[in-house]
Amino acid sequence: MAIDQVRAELSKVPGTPSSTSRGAKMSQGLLAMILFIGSEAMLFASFFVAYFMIRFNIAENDWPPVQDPATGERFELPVLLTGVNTAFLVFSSFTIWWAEHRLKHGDRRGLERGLVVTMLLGLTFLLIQVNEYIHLGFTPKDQAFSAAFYTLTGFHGLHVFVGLCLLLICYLRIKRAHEFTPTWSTPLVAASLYWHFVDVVWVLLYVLVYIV
Amino acid sequence: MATHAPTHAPAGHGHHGEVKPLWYWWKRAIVGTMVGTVFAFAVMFFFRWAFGFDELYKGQPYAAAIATFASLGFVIGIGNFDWWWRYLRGKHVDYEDHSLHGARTFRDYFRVNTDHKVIGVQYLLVVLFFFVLGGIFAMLVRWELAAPGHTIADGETYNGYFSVHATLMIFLFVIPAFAGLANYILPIMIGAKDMAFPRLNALSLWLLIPAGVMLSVSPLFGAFSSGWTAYPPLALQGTTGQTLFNVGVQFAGASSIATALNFLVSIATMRAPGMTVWRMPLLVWANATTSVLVVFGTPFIAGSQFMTMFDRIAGTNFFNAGQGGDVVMYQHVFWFYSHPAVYIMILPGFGIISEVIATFSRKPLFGYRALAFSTVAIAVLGFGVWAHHMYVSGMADWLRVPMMITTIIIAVPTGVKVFSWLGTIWNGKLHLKTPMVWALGFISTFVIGGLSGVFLGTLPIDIQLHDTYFIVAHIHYVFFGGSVFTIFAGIYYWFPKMTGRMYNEKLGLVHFWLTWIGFNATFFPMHWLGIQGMPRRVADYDPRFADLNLFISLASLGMVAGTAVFFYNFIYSWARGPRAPWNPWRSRTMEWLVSSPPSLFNFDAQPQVVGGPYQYGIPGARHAVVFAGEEIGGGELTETERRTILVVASETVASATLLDEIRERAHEGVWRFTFVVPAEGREHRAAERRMQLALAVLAAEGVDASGTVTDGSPILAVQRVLAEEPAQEIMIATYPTGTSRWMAQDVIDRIRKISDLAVTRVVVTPDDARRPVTSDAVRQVAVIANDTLGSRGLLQAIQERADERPLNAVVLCPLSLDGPGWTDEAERVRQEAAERARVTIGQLERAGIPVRGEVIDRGPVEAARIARDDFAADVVLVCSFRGRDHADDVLPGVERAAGGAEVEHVVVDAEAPTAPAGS
Amino acid sequence: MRRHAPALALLMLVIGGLTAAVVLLIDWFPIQAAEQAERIDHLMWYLVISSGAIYVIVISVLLYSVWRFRAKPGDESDGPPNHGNTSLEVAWTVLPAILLGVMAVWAYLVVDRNEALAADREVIEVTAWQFAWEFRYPEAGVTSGDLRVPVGRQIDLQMRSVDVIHDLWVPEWRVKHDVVPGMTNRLIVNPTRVGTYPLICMELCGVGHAAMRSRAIVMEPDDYEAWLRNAQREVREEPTPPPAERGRGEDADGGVPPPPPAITDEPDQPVIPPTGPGSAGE
Repeated sequence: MAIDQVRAELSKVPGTPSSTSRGAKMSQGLLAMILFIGSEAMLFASFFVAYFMIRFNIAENDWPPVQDPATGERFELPVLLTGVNTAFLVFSSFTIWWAEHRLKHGDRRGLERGLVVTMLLGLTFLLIQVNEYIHLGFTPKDQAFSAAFYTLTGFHGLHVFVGLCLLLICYLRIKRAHEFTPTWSTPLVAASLYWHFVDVVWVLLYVLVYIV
Repeated sequence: MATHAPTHAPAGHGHHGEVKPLWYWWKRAIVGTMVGTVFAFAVMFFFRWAFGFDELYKGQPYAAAIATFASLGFVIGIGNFDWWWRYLRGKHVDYEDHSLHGARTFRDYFRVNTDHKVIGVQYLLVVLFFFVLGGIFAMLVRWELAAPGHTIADGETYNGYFSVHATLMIFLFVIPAFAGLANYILPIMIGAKDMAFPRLNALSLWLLIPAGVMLSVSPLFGAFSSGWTAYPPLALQGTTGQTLFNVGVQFAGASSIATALNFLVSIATMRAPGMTVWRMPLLVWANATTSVLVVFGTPFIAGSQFMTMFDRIAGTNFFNAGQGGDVVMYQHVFWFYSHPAVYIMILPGFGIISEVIATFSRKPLFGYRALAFSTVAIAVLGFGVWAHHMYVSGMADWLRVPMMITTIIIAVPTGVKVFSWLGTIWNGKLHLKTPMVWALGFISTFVIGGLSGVFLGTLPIDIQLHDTYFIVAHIHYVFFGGSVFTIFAGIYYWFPKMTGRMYNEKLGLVHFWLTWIGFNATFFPMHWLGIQGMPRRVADYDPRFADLNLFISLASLGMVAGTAVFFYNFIYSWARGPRAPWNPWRSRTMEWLVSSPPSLFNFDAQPQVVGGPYQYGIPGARHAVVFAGEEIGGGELTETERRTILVVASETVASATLLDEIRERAHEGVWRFTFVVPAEGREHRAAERRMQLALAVLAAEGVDASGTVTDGSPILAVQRVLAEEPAQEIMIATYPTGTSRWMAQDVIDRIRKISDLAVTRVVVTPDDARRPVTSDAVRQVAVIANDTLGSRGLLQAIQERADERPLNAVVLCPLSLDGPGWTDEAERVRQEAAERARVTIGQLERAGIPVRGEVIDRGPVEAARIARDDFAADVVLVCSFRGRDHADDVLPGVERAAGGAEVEHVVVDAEAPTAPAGS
Repeated sequence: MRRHAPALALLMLVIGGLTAAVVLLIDWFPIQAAEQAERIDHLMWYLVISSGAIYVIVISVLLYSVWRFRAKPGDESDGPPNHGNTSLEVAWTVLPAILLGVMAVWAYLVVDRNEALAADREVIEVTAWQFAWEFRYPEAGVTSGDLRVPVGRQIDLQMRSVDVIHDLWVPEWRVKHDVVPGMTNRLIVNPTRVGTYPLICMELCGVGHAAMRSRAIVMEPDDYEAWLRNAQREVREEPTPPPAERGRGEDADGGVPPPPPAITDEPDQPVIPPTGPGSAGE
C-alpha cells in the first residue's frame, strides 16, 4: 500500500495525532538529517583540528613525518590514485542526483538503476581505499601524523559505509515495499543528502590532507 | 503509583494489540547483551588473528569492543530497533505506529515506550538513581577529606571517587535531567501531541542506561582516576575503568545528540497554530538554544574520546610527544565541547526558573525578549570561550587575552537574566511555594557562582586560582547552586502535572532549607581554601586546612539529609499524595491547560495560541485556548467564548492591509473584533460608511466584527469603548510615520498607557487606503455621468445607495466626441470633463466612499460595456439633468451593453449653475 | 519605587555591612612574596569590591521583594502587567559591561607586567615526573629537590615534564603554569620576601598527586650564593647525571630525587621519551 494511502487512512482515525501542524511544509525527516549532518561535520572538524595541531608542530619539509625504516626515505601519499578515487566519489553524487531526478519523472526503473550505480561507485571507493591502506607503508602506530591520517580517512570510510547502508535500505524499500513516489520520498532525499555530505567531506579531506 | 491512564486507545491500532509481558523484553535484553559480548569477542579475536598481532589477547581492545557491542546488544534486545528491523526487511510499516505508547501500569515504565510523557518519567527515575549514586561517591570524597592523610582510601581509589562522582553528575544527572523534564513538558508546552520522532526519543533514553552502567561500574575494573576531564597522558595510563569511560561518554553523547535533534525538529515544526517565536515560553527558547549547542558541540568530546581510546587500545600516538603528538590539542578539542556543556547544563535551568518566577510572582516576565536574546547570546558566545580553561596549560600565549574578553562578555547576558528575574519579582504577588523558594534560592547561590566565574575568567586571577579549591567552590555554585536547584524547582513545579498528585509542601521546604544551608556551609569555605593554596583532586592536604575540611565534611551531611527528605516526599506523594487539580499554580502555559497527568496524546483537538505565555495581570489575556473533549471534564478552561480585539482606525479602516491583518488574527479562531472609528470632527457619516464597508467585508467571511463611530480623539474613543466592554488587545491602523497625524500625536503610546493592553500597529500607505476592496459583500457601482458630475444631486444619489449597502464607485465620463479625438477642441472638452470628474471623486472620497474614475472618448453605451468588462459592475447608474436629457435614447443601449448588471436612471435637478455643458 | 527606597536602602546597608565583614574580617589572601602577587591582589580587590556590590544589590532586592511583595493568604490577584523598562534594562546591561571593560584592560596590564622579562634573570630548569620535582641550576651545574632562589631577582623557570602533565604553583607567589610533556614552558617570578613556601603540583598526575610537593626557599642573595657554591662542591665529589638522561631510565643510580617510576602498567603503551621534537632544539 502506498504511503499516501496509509496516511490518508490514518488521518480518518480519530485520536491519531497529525504529525505536523505549524510549518508542516518543512519535512521533519529532512530537517533532522540536516541537523545530524551538521553534527557529523563537527565530528570531522574535531579530527581536522587534531590533524592541523599535530601538523603545526612539525617543520613543513619534514611532512609527512613517516619514513621507511629500511631505507630512511619519506613515504609519500598516493595523490594520483586517490585523485581518481575522489573522482569516483564525486561522480556518485551525480548519479544519485540523477536517480532522484528520474523518480521525479515517475521513472522507477531509472531510480533503481541510479541507486545501484551509486552504490557500486561507493563500494569501489571503499575497496580502493582499503587497497591504499595496505600499500601505504606506514601504520597507525607510527607517528601522531599517521594516527590522525588513519583516523580521518578511517572515519570517512566508516561514513561511506553508513551512507551505503542508508542507500541499501532505500533500495530495499523500493524493491520490496514499493515505496517513494514523485511527491513523497523523504527517506531517499535524506539518504542522498547524507551521501552528498560524505562526498563533500572527502573532497575537503583530499585537498587538506593529500594535496596541501 | 499514578500512571498516565490513556483516556482512549486510538482505534484502528488494534492489530498491534498483543501486549508482551515485561519479562519478554528483559529476557531479550539479557540475551542481546550476551550476544553482543560474544560477538565483540569473536570480532576482536578474528581481527587480531587475521592481521597477525603478536598478542592475541590483550585487555583494553577487548574491553572497548565488549563495552560497545554489549551495550548495542542491550539496546537492540530491549526492543528499540524492532520497528526498524521490520522497515529494513521491506515489510509494511506503520509510520504512525503508537503501539508502544502510553503506560497503563507501572510495569510500562520499565520497557521501551515511545510516549514522551512516559519517557520523561523514565528519564527522571534514571537520573535520580544516578544522582544518588553520584552523591554516594561525593560522600566518600568528603569522608576521605575529613582529615588529612589517608582516611579511607589510597590515592588511586580516591582519584576514582571524584572522577566517577563528576562524570555521573554531569553526564548521567544534570544533562539528562533537563532532557527528561523537557521531554515531558516541552511537547505539551508547544501544543504538540508528542515529540517529532518518538522512536528516536525512546532510543535516547535507552542509550543512556548502558552509559550509566559503564561509568558507575568503572571503579570496579580499576583506575578510572584521571578526573572527568581525562587529560592525556594521564588518561592513557589507567586500565579498564578508563576504557569504560571512553566508551560510556560516547553513549551518553549519542543520547544527548539524539534528544537535541528531536527537540529542535519538534520546536521547529510542531508548534500549535498561533505559537510564533515570540509567544514561546522561555523553557522552549532555552531548550532550543541548548539543543543547538548539543548538536554542534558534543561531536567534539566524541572526537577527543576517540583519540584517547585509539591511543589506549590501538597504540596510536595522538598524545605521545615523542612521536609528534600534541598533549594540549586534547584540551582544545575537549573544552570546545565541555565549555558549551556548561551552558548545556545551565540554560534549560534558566528556562525553568523563568517559568517558575513568572508564575509565582503573578507578573509578566520583566524583559521577556531580553531574556530570550540573552539565552541565545550566551549560547553563541559559549562557543568562543573554551580556552579560558587553559590559561596555564601552555597553549599559545596570544590566545589568552581574546579568550578572557569573550569570557567576561558572557557575564553581561547572564547578569541581564538575573536582573530581569529580580525585575519580575519586584512589585509582584509572590507565592512562596516550594518551586518558587527553590527558584529564589537558586538566584541567591547562582549569583555567587556567576561572580566567582568572573574571577576565574580574569586571566591573572585565574593563574592564581586555577586548579585550586576555588574552582571546586565555583563549579558547585553553578552546578549545584545553579543547575541542581533549578532541577529541583522544576521537579516540584511539574510534580502535580507528571504524577497527578500534590507533593507535601512542608517537606519540600524542609528539603530546601537543609540543602541550602548544607550547600553554602559546604562550598562557601572552599573559596578560602582555594585562595590559600589547597589544590583540587588531592586525597591528602596541608594539615593547616584540617579543621575547615572537617567542618565541610560535616556540613555536607545537611545535603544528604535534605535529599533523604526529598526522596521520602517524592515517593510518598506519588503514591499517596492528594489528587492534583489541572492547574494548581494558576499558570498560563499550555501544559497547565490539560489534565494532570495529560491524556495519551495530550490534547483532544488542536490547541490555539492567542497570546504571550506570561500575560499575568492583564484582564482576560490568555496564552492559549485548549479545546478539551467532554470525557475529561470541561470546566472553565474549555470555554470557547470569543475575546475582543479593539481595532482603532479612521481613514484606513477599509484598507486591504488592515483587513488582511484582521483575517489573519481571525484564523486563530477566538477573536471578536470591535471597530473604534474616531470621526474627530469630520464628517461622521463618512466614517460610518467606511466602517460599514469593512464590517460587510468581514461579515461575508464569517469574521465576528462590530463597531461604532465616535466623535473626538482616538484616545477618548478607546477609553469610552473600554469602559463598556473589556478587550484583550488593541490594533491601531495608521498611515506611515511622518504622514500620520496620529503618530505625530503619539497616539499609540498614549493608548497603551491608558489601556494597559498589548497594542499592535498596522501601517497603511495612503495609496492602499484609497484602493477599493474587492469582496462579494461590496457592490461595484458604475456611475455614468457627464454634465451632472460635480452636482450635489449626483453626490446625494450615490451616498443614498452607499448607505443602503456598501459600494465601490467607478465614475465613468462618456464624452461622445463626434469628430476626431486629436483636435485642440477635443482636448479642451476632455480636460473639462476630467475636472468635473475629479470634483465628484473628491466629494465621494470625503464622504467615505471608495472611488475611481475614467474619462471615455466614446458614448454612454461604450461606457457601460467598460463598466461591465473592466470593473465587473453590479449596478450602472446613468445620470442626467432633469429635462435636459436624452437619456431615453441611450438607456436601451446601455442596458444591453451592461449585460447582467442592474441599470438605473438617476435624474438630477439642475439646482445650481453648473460647469459649461460639453455637448 | 520611591516609597520603597528608604527601606531598601536600609536593607542594602545591613547586607552590605555583613558582606563587608565577611570580606574584611577574614584573612583571605596568603602572604605576598613576589611582585606578581601584589599586582594580582590589587586586581583581585577591584573584583571583590565590584562583585560584592552587585551581590549586595541582588540579595537586597531579593530579600526585600520576599518580605514586601509576598501575597497575602487568599490573595489571588495578579501583579501589575509590567513588561519591562527599556532604560533600566539598558542600564543593567551597560554598567556591568563598563565594570568588566575596566577589568579587562587592568588584567591585560597585570599579565603584561607580570611576564615582562628582565635582562638579568636567574634561569632554573625544572623537571617534573610522577611524582617529584627536580630543579637544575645550569650555570652552576647543580640539581636540587627544593627550589632555592635569591630574593630580589627575576627567576625564569624552564619547565619540562617526563611523563604526564604537572603544574607548578607557589600560592604565595600567585603564579602557576602547567608542565607539559613535549614542551618547555616558562614561569616568570620576582620573589620579594625571604622564606620557605610550599611548592605544589596542581594538575592531577596520578596516584601520588597529593604527595607531589616540594618547597620554594627564597634566600638572601649571599646565602643563595653560598648554598650554590657548597652544592657545586658536593657535585664535583659525586657527579650526578643530568635529569633528562635519568628520565630515560638508562642510568638511574643516585641523585637526590627518586628516579621516575616505570611509566605504565599498560603494555600497549609505548614508553614516552622525556623530550619530544618540540623541545629537541633547546
